[in-house]
Amino acid sequence: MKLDFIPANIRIFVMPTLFLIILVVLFSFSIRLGLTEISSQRQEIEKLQKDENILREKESLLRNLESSILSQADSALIALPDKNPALSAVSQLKNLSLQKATIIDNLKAGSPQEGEGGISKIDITFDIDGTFFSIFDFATSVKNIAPITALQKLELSDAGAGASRATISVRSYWASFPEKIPTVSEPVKGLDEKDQETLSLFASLSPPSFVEISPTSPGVRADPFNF
Amino acid sequence: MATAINLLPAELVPKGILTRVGNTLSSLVIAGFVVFFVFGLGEIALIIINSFQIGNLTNRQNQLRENIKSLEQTEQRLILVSDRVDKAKIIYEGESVGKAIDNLFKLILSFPGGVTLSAVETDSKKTSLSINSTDSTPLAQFMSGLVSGNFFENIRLSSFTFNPSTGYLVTFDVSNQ
Repeated sequence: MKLDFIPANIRIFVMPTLFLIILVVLFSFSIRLGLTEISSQRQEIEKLQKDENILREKESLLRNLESSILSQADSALIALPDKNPALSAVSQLKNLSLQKATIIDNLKAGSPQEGEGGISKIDITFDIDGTFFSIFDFATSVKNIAPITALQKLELSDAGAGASRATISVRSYWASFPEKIPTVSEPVKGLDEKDQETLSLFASLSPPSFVEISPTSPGVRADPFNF
Repeated sequence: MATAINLLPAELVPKGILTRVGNTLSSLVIAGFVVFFVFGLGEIALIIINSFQIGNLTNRQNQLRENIKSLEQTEQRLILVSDRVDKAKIIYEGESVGKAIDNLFKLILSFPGGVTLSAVETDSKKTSLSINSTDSTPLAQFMSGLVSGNFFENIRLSSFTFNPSTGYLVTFDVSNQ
């Protein structure tokens, strides 16, 4: 390149300065692009590591629960079913009445009520005859039956040495199934100590006698022409 | 003797100091390019290493996701159990009558001789208990036991009657709120 028109004192600096400018431009591009790429890779790596920890914890939790969760789910569903349990609650109350040597009659079930948090309830009212001791024994035992049934009202009058009569109102509960299932990547909450206590309570509840009716197997049919 | 003769005109030759500065600048530029290449190679190496790490992490995550998918049924059961437990806790927290009946039953079991239960009425708002006593001594024992037994936090005497034939009829309103 002919640079004769440039004085010699300046010409000596032309090429180095040109290369210096090119170097500065290359450095600035390299730093900007390179560091941006490296920074975004580091962020992605941190996120992936965090997600991996969540997935590992979730897998470990689910593997630990795999063997016991089925029976826990069964007793949880018997304790708090997804459908109106009025029939099984009435059956349970009648069984309990027999156990406690009392007689119940005038059974009435109210209308189903939808409450907050997806919990529905139904009130069942009845009269009960027995000694006041057996009536109280019955009343304190209502909480031990499944589905979850809670005493709402008790009116006992004319309690004497012999038979007494009381009017009792109990409330049975049910709840719809949860609709939202977390995605594979979302963490899942395990069962803490208080949850385990509640699960132990579920397991201790006396279940209805007809939880599931299995089909009968076909039998041998008698020959009608050869009795 | 050979003599060095510079035939270039004086105006075409740069001054000595400027020549030295120009050479220094050139050296710096060359060094700068070397540093740039080393830096660039370092950046490229780091980007490649990070890409490998991202690839490994992604593969491990995919494997974990596959494992978790195979445990889908367990997860659904866990969601159901957690849901039932949370809802049961709400039900049990709001339940008060059962606790009142439990305390009443314990109280009735501790009745001294001569005191009998006359009537009981309990619901979510109040609990009242009526007792009969033929004599004042067992009645006093009962009332002392009622207070010292810590069966209820609030005890209100709502009626106190005496009938010469049936004895004392006393009604209490009790609660734990």
